[in-house]
Amino acid sequence: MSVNPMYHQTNQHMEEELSWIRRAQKDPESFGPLYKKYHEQIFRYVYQRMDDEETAFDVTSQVFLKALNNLQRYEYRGVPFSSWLYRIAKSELYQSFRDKKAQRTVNIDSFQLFELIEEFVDDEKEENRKKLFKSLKLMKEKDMQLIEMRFFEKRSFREIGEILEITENNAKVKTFRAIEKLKQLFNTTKLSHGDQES
Amino acid sequence: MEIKKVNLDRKPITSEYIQSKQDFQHVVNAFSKTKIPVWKQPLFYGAIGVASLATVVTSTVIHFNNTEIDGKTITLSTAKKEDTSESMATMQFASVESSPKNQETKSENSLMKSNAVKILSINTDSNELVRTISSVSLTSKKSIEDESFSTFLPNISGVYQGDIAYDKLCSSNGIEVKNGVEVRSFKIQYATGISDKEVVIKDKKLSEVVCKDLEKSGFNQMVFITEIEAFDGERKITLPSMNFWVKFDS
Repeated sequence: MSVNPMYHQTNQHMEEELSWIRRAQKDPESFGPLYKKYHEQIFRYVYQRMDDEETAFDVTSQVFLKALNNLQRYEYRGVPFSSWLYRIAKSELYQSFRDKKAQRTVNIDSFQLFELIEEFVDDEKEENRKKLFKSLKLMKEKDMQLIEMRFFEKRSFREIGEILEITENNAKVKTFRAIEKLKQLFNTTKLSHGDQES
Repeated sequence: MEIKKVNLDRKPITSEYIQSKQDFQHVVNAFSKTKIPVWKQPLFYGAIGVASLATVVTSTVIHFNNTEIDGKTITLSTAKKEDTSESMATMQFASVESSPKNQETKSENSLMKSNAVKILSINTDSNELVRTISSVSLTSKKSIEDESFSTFLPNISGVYQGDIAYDKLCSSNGIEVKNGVEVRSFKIQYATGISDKEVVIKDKKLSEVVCKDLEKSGFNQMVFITEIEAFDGERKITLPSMNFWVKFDS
């Protein structure tokens, strides 16, 4: 499984990033390089979880505005700056769902779906695909976000751990449990007549 | 949170398109709009508060220091600490010089035994007594009964601070200060058994009502005498506060 290449950085990159942060703490205009570097990542993270593109851009702007507002309180803890941004993004995202500005959506492509079905059954029949769709809708949010990050966004357990503020091992265990729950839902889900037709 | 929708193979968005939507200036503008002005921040009020308090304290200290008492200049040149279990600090007045006004030269050595007051420094110039009483401690109850030090301190029956018998407190001539300084009013705080009472007395003596209240309560208690206003000739001065441990059993 591939990992997000943007996340893993060398010490030199982290130090450079830290110097940008220090400068931006003094002058908001110096936040520019960080905005340019992370805008796409954060947008994709947000857009992955909602349906509307414009709202996703709005939420992304809000994330950077909030980051700029709270930059004075940012403390470097040896992890990439992006994990801090992801945490803000997560909170802004859920706020937009609560405000009903956006709908919680799971976006998946055929290849990812195939990979996921392979975890449960051997054949990728249309019926199994529908069953998986139905099961995903029944998943709890905390489990869904782990599956999304690991299977749809191809993030490493380390990165998942840093975004969710848990250890790498804990991220592994929780993701495994989430998959088990999805498998259970997949096996117990029965397709109704309406589901068969859609 | 409920998952409302699952999309399969949604049309991907290119990096170029996302980059074209970047608008850092919009974020910076929004940031400058959301920034709270300095005068609206709690820190600002904190700083103003501290500065005001410092100003008030400084002006009070300056006012207090400029109070001339007795036309004399007292130089405290040495301060010795005596190691006694009863007293916390013992200060020695090395010399008392007269001001040019009366051109007397006196030299007094008087021991001021104080378990309640620590006079850390006494600076002088030719006309004014400048005193800094830096801390007052009420940890011990020993009375200060040495009369020689009471040149500028108010006292009741020679007691400035500490233990005082009820009879002494109520049947004396009230608050006395040496060298013609006359006490006109003061505030007294004491407990009546149910609650604390605060009475302003326009005299140098404790009123009968206060004495009766104290007698009625019948228990040893701490009494605070503050805002002692006196006249040194024509000039109105405020004297240092006094605290007494009023005893009925002595």
